[in-house]
Amino acid sequence: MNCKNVEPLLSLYVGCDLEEKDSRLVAAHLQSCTECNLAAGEYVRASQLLQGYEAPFITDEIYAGIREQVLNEIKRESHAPGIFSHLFLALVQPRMRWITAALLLAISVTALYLNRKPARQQPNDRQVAVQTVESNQAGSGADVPSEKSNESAGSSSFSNKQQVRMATVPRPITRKREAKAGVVASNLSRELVQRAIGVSQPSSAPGPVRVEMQTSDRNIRIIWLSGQRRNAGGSDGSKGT
Amino acid sequence: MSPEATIEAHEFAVASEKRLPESVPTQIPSSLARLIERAAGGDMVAFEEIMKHSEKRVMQMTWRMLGNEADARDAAQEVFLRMYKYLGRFKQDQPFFAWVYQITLNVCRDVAKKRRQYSTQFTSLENGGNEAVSVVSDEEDAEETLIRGQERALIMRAIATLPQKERAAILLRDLEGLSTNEVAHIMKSTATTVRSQISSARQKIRVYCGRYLKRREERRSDEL
Repeated sequence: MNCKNVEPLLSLYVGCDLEEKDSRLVAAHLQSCTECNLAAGEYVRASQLLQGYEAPFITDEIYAGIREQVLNEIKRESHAPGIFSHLFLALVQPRMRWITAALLLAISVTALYLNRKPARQQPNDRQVAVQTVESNQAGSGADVPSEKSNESAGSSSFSNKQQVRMATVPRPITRKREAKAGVVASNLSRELVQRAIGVSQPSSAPGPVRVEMQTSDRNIRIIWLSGQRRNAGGSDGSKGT
Repeated sequence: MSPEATIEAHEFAVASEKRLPESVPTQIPSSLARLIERAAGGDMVAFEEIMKHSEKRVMQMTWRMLGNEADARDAAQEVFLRMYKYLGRFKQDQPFFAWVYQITLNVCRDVAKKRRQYSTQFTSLENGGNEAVSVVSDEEDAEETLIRGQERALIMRAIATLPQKERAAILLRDLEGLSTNEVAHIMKSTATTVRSQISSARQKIRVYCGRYLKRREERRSDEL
């Protein structure tokens, strides 16, 4: 080991903070190097000076005073009211009584209102767009009216009487809901729909009839379409999706 | 000269090595453990006993860290309050005084931050130091007392120049006599970092005191 290596280790050597191996090497170097030896001596004397860094004599009275203050503080803190007690005391003050009463009233009214409000009915996972075609649609030439066929037929094929009932409403699904079985949409009046469900398509139906029925499985929907207006009461078609 | 200095260094090293294990008990005596249990349950008498048991160490450490008796007293009071507050969290398998030192260092750091007069208060301690030395003994001759006072003031100033972590490390290691690992545990650091801090602090103190020490050596050699 040379002086360059030993110098940074000297302070640790003096304080016995070196590992045994390093300590032995430093000691061996100190035997032969005067400069490092002097530096080590300075470290030793500085450490001896440091040993004299003592607190002034503190009397027992001072210690007793500190203890007493600490114990008093602890007692005071243990008897001190908490934050909720402070809040309560502040609220029941004569000045604050009316404000407190108003606050309580407002809170209770809000709570009542929220409890009595009926739960909103959640729509099905997906509402399907259903187009209805008026029975007196002329010249469409298609058995099954569809968006595509309507478009191909030109804008005139969409008269004012054609209506788009519902649009697709994508909603985030929060929970799984059972699909309800029954009629979802049709272009018939209520009586006709009832008749369609109960009996067969009446021969006197004014035009093509489309009835959609939702099965208990929400993935299966039965779409029932009647024949053409001129073939009223003729061919039937059913389609499962 | 080299042989003397080498011998001195060796002697000091050996003395330091012997001193360390005696200074800090790492295991809690059963009586202290019982006191801690009782105090944690709210027994004020037991807590007072704990305070009596640790007050000198706490006071010494706070004074050495803050260099001011008034601040040291305030800090000691705060240390005991925190001790009482967190006594329930103290684990019996860890050394009690390491825990106390941990709290003490935290409090000293807070007090120093609050006062914002850390270094100025420290340097103003010269007078306080001399007063304290003058109380030590009337039997000592005046010159010796004066030299002691100067040395004390010198080391105070030297310590005041140290950053807080280095100060804490060197005080715990060299004056409180804890091992490097214990200091690292208290300071929530590694032994390597603590060793580096201690080394740096010793070098700074040596440089600071070097001129004075040289002069003293010269004076002694002239007298001889």
